[in-house]
Amino acid sequence: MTSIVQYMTTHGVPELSLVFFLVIPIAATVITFARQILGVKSFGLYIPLITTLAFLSIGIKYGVFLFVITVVIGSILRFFLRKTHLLYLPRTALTLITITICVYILFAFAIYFGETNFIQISVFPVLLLIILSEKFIATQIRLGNKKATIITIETLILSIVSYYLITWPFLQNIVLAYPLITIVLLIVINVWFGKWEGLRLTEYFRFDKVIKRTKLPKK
Amino acid sequence: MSRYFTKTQQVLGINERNIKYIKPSNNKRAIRVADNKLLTKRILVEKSIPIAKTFAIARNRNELINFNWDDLPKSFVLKPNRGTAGDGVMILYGKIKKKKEFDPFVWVKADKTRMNVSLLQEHTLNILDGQYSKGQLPDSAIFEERLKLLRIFKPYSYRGVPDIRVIVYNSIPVMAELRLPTKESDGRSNLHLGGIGVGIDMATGTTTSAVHHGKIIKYLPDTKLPLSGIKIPEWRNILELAIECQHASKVGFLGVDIGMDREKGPVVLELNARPGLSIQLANLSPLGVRLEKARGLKVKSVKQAIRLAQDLFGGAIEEELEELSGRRIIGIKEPIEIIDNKGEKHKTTAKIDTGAYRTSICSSLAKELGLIETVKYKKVRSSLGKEGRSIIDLSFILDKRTVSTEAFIADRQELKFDIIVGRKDLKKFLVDPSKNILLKE
Repeated sequence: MTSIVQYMTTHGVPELSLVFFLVIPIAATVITFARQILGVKSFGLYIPLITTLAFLSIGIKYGVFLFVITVVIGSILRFFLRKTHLLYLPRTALTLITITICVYILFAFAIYFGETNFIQISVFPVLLLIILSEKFIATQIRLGNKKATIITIETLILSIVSYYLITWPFLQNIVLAYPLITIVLLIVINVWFGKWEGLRLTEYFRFDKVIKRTKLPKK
Repeated sequence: MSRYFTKTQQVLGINERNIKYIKPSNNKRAIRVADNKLLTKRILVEKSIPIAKTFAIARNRNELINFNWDDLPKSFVLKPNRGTAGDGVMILYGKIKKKKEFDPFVWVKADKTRMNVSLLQEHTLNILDGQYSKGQLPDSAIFEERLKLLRIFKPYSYRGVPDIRVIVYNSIPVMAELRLPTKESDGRSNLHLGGIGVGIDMATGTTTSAVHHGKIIKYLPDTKLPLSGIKIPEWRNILELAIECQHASKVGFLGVDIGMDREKGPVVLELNARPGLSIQLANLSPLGVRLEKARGLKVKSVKQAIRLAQDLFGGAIEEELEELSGRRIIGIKEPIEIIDNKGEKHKTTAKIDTGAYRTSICSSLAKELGLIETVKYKKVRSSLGKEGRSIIDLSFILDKRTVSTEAFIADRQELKFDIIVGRKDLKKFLVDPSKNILLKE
């Protein structure tokens, strides 16, 4: 248990790396819980996960800011690009290019306003966020603006919650101290989720009228 | 509180649907067939199940380039082969002949927008590029016939043909809904695109309640027409078709979408291996309990399956009908034959008193018939004040129906009738005050 962790740290693996290795299973479990038990929609498992990782890298303030910016720009762009009657994939590529240009401009503004913190953020997570915005646009086309917005907000909230959970020192300490137990526990929890047949929280609300109307069988 | 939870257990949620029904009942091959409209059509045609006619198929860009748009009929439906939930489905209503030479044909959509060949090509290309298919994989485009609307549905559906979704499990149809297209759904009937789901009573094929955007409604939004009481034509045929689809496709937990064509009758539009749960809202009835009931049954024939569905899942309307049929109609005064302790029948006239709970017989008559053995004793408040009354076993015949019950013994010397029959014993009867008025007391 702790001996493996000690083995790694004494041989040069930074502690934070080990924590973050275990972070992915925890974040994944949190997202699964939100979906299976609560009924929070979000864009599947990967997108909230990657968003959380992006937040971990560039900080939550800039992370949320960039997330919102990419989504908003993507939506505005979609509205204009529709009129051009281009095919789907090229349209998406154009959207990504435009968002990238906007982020460039954002950086320029940051220099102008002296936001040195912003300029120095790692670029890779930013790229991830830009790429993720494609999914949002695709969903907009599929389900309409309103539903897409709701799912996006749910994804954002999920990512934020995961972020705070993972950066919680208490949890980090436990995870470092008992890595094996944590993993076993997570496996057990996920297996349990996989077999759970109960109603999701949102379904209690959705089927409220049906529940009220149900007649119990006579004995 | 525990009653609430028992009730919630009867509702089918996504988790239960996936684990208990989809996973065990739908094997991968069957799901693949259901997800692929062309495969579905082939399998259904083999079993002589009516489907919507396919005018043309575009499988790749080559076929699209060489596609003969002139050959297409006035109205048709363009759909992705592996699309889900009505995604990417475009319904074209009619052709307008334009004056210009190079764009001779223009079709019109439900929202009156005009689609010329290049716009249709664009949409078809999107389909081929996999915009609407799972995992964005390349797909085929189907040009299908547009069903002709039945007159009975005209006031209810906006520029589209409604379809009927039937959920079949273990060869038994368990629940059904009528899906009406609306203005916002662009002529398509899928609920999450803005269609209206109307629950259907399994026994009679008559609609009950409705749901729109997840909210229960009773009337059509614009015209305020009531949505209950619509009688679906050829209901038995529709149920039969749905069951046959399950046998043909081997999808154990199946949603069948059946359209009604004015000339062809019921036609299978598509099969769904992951039917949605809002059908429960449309019917205001939980699916879980119905599936449980259907689970253990042994189904030997299609006719038996339909009968089971009608008996087990026929709802509110059926109950009323069953109670009405098979009941004898009697008047307020009714000839009655009371059976004495020797088994002989004694004729007299009874007052049918729906205001009383229990039948009451005069003590003198009871003594006369030898019915003196008190079985119970009860305290009673009556029009004569509070009193304690004896109860005896009593059997009598009203309008050819025998009733065995327990009756009060009361002093009815001063009253008109020897015996009054109370509600408890009137379950097989309907009381019509206008009957037997001239009967002597």
